[in-house]
Amino acid sequence: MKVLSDDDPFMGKKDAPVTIVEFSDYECPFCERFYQQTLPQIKSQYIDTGKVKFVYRDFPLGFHQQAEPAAIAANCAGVQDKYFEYHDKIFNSGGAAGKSSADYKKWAQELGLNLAKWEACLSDPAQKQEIQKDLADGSAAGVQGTPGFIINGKVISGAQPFSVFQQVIDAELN
Amino acid sequence: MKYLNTVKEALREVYSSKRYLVLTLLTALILFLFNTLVNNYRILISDFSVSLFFLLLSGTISTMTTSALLILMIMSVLAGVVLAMTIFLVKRQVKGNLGISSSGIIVSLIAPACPSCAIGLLSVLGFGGFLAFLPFKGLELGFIGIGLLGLSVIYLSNKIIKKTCSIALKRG
Repeated sequence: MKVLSDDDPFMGKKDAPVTIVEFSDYECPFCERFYQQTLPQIKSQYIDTGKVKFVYRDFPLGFHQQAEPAAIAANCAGVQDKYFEYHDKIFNSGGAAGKSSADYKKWAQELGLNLAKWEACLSDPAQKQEIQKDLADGSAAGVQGTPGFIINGKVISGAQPFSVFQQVIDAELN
Repeated sequence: MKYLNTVKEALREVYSSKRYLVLTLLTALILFLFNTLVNNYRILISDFSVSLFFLLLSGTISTMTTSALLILMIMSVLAGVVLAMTIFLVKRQVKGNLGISSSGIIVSLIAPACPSCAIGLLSVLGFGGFLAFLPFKGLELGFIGIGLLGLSVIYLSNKIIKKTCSIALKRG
């Protein structure tokens, strides 16, 4: 579980009994669907109540041109402790499809990030390496598409409805 | 038109027995379920319950595009028809059908893998990335599968409506 969580951004209690690691692509419409329809319920019923730690890791698919740039932009916002705010901005804008560096910069400004520091981070090679590591870890864990989830070591594939997560999480909690 | 009449006649003959209809529907159902659930086989094995089974099934179907769902349904039914026709011919002891039937059925097993929504066997086998670079992101396999299965149906129909065994003419 430590390897799967790595040092990636997370929501919830660090020592929660259940860890959900989401491998996601900012340009994937199913990842956006999960964000809009399922994550809010998981957050209110499990993350905010201390039962689940939710970790976000990048899994940009090769044919999504903006997936990696969006992931790097979000990670650089995370360097200034605004990861999930930036993550929410991307998905609330319909995902990274059709977006450009101008959009990423606009969001960084809206969140009040130190722009010079954020822009310097974008060209840091360590950011690409981090994403490659996420991709490798996800593939090794059995993730074949996005969104992919590892719930206490169990793999769930696809933007499944909340009821699927509820069943698996409750089984782990019991 | 000629092919259509041949297929109609063959289907009439095969499905005069209800058991072939049952076989077709069962095969179609199994193939459909296989393709929709194969990517979540690990959790189904470790945490199996009837409710999880149906939740995963409905959840996965809801993530499929209309075209992928349609292609999968058509391929599943066609594969069922091909299997029923093949068994019908095997029972009639007509040789040489397994090759063309199995190639169509194999394609229906790998079906319209969708790299980003992760359905189908190819995705599980790690070929989702390769499919992503195809013009239609893997849906081509669905069309190829339907084509192969369609050709299988026509080929098998010809054999079914043929009522004689050909004599191979020898020279000399």
